Amino acid sequence: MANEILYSDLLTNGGAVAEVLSGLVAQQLYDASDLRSVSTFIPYNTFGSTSMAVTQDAVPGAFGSIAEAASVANTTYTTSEFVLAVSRYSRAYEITDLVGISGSPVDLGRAVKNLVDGVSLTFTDLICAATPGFTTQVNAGGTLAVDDIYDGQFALNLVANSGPYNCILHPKQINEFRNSLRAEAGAMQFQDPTAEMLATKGPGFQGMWNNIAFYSSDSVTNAAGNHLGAMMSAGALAHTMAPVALMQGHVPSSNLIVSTPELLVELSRDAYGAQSAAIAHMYPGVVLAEDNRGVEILSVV
Amino acid sequence: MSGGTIHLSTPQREENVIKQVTGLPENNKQRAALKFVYVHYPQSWHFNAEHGFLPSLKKMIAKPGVNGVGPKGELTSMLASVRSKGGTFIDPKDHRLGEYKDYVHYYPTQAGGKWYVDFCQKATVLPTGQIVWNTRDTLEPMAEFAAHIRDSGIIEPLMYEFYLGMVEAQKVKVSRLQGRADRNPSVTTKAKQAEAKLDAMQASWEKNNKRLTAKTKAKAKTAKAKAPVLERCVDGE
Repeated sequence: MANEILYSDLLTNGGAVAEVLSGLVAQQLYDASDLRSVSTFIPYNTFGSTSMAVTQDAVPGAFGSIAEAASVANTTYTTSEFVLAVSRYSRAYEITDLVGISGSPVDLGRAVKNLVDGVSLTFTDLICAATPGFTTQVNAGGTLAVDDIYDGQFALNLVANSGPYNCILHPKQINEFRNSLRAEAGAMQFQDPTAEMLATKGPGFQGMWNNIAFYSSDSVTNAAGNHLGAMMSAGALAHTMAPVALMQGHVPSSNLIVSTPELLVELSRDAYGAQSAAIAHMYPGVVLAEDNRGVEILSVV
Repeated sequence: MSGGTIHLSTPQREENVIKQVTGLPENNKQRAALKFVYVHYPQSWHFNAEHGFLPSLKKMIAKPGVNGVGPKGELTSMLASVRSKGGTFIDPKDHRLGEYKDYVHYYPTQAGGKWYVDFCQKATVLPTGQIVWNTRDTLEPMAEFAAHIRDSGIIEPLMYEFYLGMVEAQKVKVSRLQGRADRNPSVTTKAKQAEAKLDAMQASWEKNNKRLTAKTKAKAKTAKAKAPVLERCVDGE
């Protein structure tokens, strides 16, 4: 036999190409944790400043015993405050016309979607950078164990925090916690949430255990050889988002690709270079609102 | 103007430039760490078997928009908040830091930026671009750094009340572990370790107290020795 049509010959002679790009675009693995739910949203409402002070009301006090006909002294009304300062965060993708002409499944629309997905990641980074500010720490210098979670719980309980608590841990801390939990004996051993907590999940929400919502995020930072996780009650963290819609007047409406209260994506066309860019801006701010509402949970890296 | 014939006989040499990749690669999964400073709060201490009670240093990251950090990484507002909560800012320029002065270090990134690290952090970049950090090797140098800060007088010493709190917490831990040891043999080892740590904590405190008492007595003797000199001067007038 001779003159068979071989694939290798076709590759050489132009009858076939080595590989064809599939129209399907698969997502690479990444940590998509959105931790905004553990933080209190404060509407941005400033006049002539990028910082906004939020008043925390005075703590009510028990009345004092006063003798009959004695005059009562005034009590100082001691308020507190926390300050939210916003800062600019941006990201841009630029794509040449040739990419579109080639029929690539990666186009400007996909780039814009990627930018929108980045909003929650930006917030997660900011939140994880804020939590090392808690002054109380548990478990310095060891691997994380169930006892450390109890220690955090006890520390929050000591200063009058109400549950449920939120606990943000590094994936390695979550592993260590699960490892300790599976050897746990006693009151929690046969509880359903214990078995649930041992099951594998993706990044982000891991489930409720002991009335604590656990989150895993690779944005949890390190310092001095420790992962800096945190446990907190509601109101420990606050965040704001300056409404970028206010600056719509600065941007020609024909250039607006995405315009939400929190995110503005605009198109920039470089006709000389035959390329188009999608540029996104957001102005977030995160603050540790009340120190007593949270503890830092350390474990060796 | 007419175009005459030209002859080119000496071509210029194009020097082959070898691109050398240095620095740390950045991508969405490996983001450069930002500048930071350390602070310390009076209640933040932990026990280290080798160095005794060490201050737990807190890393404050200069991330714009977080805890009052300004757009250019200004820390004024954040440090004011630290001070209002009784914390001490470990100023990188403090001369008492000695060899640790300017403790914030960085590696250059391939994109031309800076990746801020602790002074003892080492990185290995694999051919795939993955960065492998020597995390375990940083524990001892960081403990030495914390011990230096404790001994340099930059921060207040560990208060007796906080020491008592740490000892009580450790006692509770020992008791908790011992109570479960009969149901779970793996807890027995942990209980023994916790017990040993409790003993070491108490021994370290006692040792430190004796050292301080001896130091105080020595100072008192020196003061007494000086007193007659002053008297003589007064007498001589």
